Amino acid sequence: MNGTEANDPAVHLPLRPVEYQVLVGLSRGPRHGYAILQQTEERDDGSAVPGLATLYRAIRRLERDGLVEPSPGVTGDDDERRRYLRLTATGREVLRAETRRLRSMVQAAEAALEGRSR
Amino acid sequence: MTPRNDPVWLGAAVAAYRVVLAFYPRGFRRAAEREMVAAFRRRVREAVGRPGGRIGAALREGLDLLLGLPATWLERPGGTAPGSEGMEEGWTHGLSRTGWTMNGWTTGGWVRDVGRALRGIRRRPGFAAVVILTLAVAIGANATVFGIVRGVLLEPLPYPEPAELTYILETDPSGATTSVSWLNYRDWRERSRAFESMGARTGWSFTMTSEGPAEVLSARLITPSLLDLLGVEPIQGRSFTRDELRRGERLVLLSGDFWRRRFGSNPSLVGSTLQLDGEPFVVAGVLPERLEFPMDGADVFAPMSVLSENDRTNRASHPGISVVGRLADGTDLEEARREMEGIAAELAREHPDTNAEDGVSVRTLRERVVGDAGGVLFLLQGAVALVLLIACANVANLLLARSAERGREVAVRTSLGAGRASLVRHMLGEVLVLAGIGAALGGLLAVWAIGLFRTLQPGDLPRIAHVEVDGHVLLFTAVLTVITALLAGVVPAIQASRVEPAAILGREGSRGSSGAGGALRRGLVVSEVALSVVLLMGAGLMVRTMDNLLGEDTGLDTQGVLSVHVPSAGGDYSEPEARAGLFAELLRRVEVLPAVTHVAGVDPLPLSGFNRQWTISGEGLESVDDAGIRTEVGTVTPNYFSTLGIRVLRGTTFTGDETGDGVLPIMVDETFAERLWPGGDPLGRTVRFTAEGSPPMQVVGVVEHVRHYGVTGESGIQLYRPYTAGVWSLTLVVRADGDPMALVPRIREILSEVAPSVAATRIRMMEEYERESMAAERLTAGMLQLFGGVALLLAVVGLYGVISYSVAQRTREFGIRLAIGARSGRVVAGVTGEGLGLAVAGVGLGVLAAFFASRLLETFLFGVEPLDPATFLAVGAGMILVSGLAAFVPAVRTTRIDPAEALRME
Repeated sequence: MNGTEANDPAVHLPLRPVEYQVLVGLSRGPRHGYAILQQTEERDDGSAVPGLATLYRAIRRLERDGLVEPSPGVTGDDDERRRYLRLTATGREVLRAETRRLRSMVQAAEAALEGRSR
Repeated sequence: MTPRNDPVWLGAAVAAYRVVLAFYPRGFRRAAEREMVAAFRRRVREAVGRPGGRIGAALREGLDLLLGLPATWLERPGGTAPGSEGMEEGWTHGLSRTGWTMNGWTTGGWVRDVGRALRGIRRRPGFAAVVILTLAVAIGANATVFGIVRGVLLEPLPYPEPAELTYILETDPSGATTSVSWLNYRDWRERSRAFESMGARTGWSFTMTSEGPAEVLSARLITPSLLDLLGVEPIQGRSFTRDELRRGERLVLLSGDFWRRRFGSNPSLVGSTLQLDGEPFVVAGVLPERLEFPMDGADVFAPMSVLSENDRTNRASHPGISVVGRLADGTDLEEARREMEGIAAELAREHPDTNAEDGVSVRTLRERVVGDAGGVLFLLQGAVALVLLIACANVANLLLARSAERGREVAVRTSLGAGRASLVRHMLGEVLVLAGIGAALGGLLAVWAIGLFRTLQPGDLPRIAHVEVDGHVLLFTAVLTVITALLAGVVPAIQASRVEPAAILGREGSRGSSGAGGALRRGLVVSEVALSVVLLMGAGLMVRTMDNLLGEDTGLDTQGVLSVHVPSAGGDYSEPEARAGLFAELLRRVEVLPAVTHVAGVDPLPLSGFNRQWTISGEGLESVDDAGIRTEVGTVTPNYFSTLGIRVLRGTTFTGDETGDGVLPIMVDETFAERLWPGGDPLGRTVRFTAEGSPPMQVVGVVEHVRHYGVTGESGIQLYRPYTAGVWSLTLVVRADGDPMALVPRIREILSEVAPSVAATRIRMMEEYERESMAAERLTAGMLQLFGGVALLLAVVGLYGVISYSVAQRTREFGIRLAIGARSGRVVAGVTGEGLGLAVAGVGLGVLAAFFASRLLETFLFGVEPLDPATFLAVGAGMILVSGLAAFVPAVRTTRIDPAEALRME
């Protein structure tokens, strides 16, 4: 893992939605890819569910950038083919930073909308 | 993860998913492949009841995988240029115009891509039509051949545990298979342990006289065990019981097809009586329709007790029986083969007079059914795959040319923030839509072509009547479409996304004519030409083969000869004298018909694929050992040799007055004479059939050798006996002025007058038999010519496209050259030369490839070597010539360039 390369979370921003979703999915503990997908689906908050290839490509990019890593302690409950992933410290930082960024964006948008409404 | 209630297509869909995944970078696959495949399977399973259902989910995931492919290569570790992250996909927070949904996130993104692609097609109908038609022909041809391969080769035989079924015959000392003696079959059955059960069958024919005018039925004599081991059960009535058979009762089973065709599926037919060969047979039951080998092609099935007394009690008699065995559990073919060889050796020791030479051949039933068709079909599948590759190259070429044209559009979009991946995805989506439409048309083409194959039955392919476009063929077509789109689309798509906006927008007015895109296009044309050369070489070799086959002499003059088979019909004709009388009368009355110039009778008919073989011993001959030698035996009427143009080399021919009493006069062919009496005089010599009670036979004449099995078959030594010595059936061969087919009604009339209980059958021109004997070669030649032609057309269109595109791009350059005094001839020659250069490179590569590929054809070739220099030269030169023309036409267009206008351009 080359997590050292980027201790400043800002270089990873902005995240793509699928990346953000993966980080959010892993924030509560190690998961495998399919579980992240199911979580998104179950939350049913209107965000579209990514395709498998999109999801796994995102995971690969996040791994490459050192935001997530394989979780060695956890083994699959029913299938040894699954790789469990967890957030790295950098990943958690980036998730926080991106959330902050999105929040400020949302706040700005809300302010603008309220300002316009008569 | 056991596949519970999985739809049948899911396995194939997973396989297709894997295929696409295989194009992903290795690192990615190592990390995610297994998990993704498992997840795909699960995702599709869990999509039951969701919008789009399981098929929708599979398509969605397939598309997601396909569209993510190019970007994955671009974002590969180490493959990413610094600062280019934002380019990977169209979405970034700061710039996105369409927000969250623009990313690969969306399941709806591809819908928009399809919509965009359809709009693109409407804008450029000509371009789209060329691409769609090219792909339709290529995909359709591939689907057709695959449909046939699947139906003939891959579909298992429709019997339970088909892998356990074997086909057993006897062999002669040369290793050639011969039919089985009834007593040998009985002994095999009793002694063998390797088989769970065995059944026997033999071909037969009956003349039915109880239902209107006499009619010849094709029949099989079978043992009831054959039905049991094949698991074939009557759909009406019942099978034969062993008690009934022991009592020798006359019973028949009808095939479902015959029952429907002849009796309108009348259920009350079961239990009624049919008059067959003058004897009453009770209909015991009806078997299913569309039976396959070894139950195919028969109208009725009767028990083996119909065989003559001699056939059932004489071990030397081999009445056409073949045996089907079902291997016992845990026995493999090799063990069964060893056991049967042991039994054959035992029988040879016990019955040295009849079995000394008899070996045994045990094959799988599948091998027997499929036979040589596998070679032909896999060859054609390979050839048609080359056509698809050429089509892909052509489409890729068209796309490259177009994306170069659209360079400015792409540059503008890129500079406005559209990411590289979204451009690639857009273009790939467009190719996929075009390929999809092409595949739909191609599918229709395959349905039509397979229907045509089923009707025309070219190539004598087994099981062709059962070939159809089923789910597997459709799935194959779908997978092929995706692969085609990838092959044709990926390179142009990535190429198009590599444009540097600044370069193109800044270089106002001038468009790059060559560069990387041009080199790619030329490379594609070279490979198209090369692949076409391979196909054309195959076609050329097969054309020469057909030429040689048609030029080959069978020793028979079959042109304009009508053949009419007249089987004997038991009953009134059970005595040999009665049959001889019938045939004599028939010949006499047909001979005097106006227009008839020659008429004769023969059994069996040459080229019909069937012959009789008997063993002879020559008394006091050193060239014949104790076991005797086998000879082909024909039974003929006196005019036979003159009717079919077989020359009598020595002695005389028959008179028609020969009798079976005393010494029987016979005629032999030149190879017979040479084999038995090398260098000596055959006339007056005496030989004898080894069968008991056969009279001595004296040679009265020698004739030319005849290739009884056609030019592709091997024929042995031949002996002719006169029909007056006894024959069960005879085929009339009739030569006439005008169309001999016009005589058929009259011949039928005569037959019904002479013998109301006898009917004619297999009424065909002899040339048809000759054509059929070359069916496999003809099919291979025809299909290779067709594929070669399509390949040539595509390659020429591709070459033409590249040259005319290059001419269009360089209009300004040519204008300047013409303006400063270049002669137009030189310009034309230069452009044509450019095309010729590509053609020569392609031909060179093609010849090299054909050098290896043509060996695959070796078994189909006749009288021509796989590396036939004349064919190589002709194809190479022809290709270069045609390519020159394809380049010359656009080159001439340069002469019409008006320099003044060209300089003002842009």
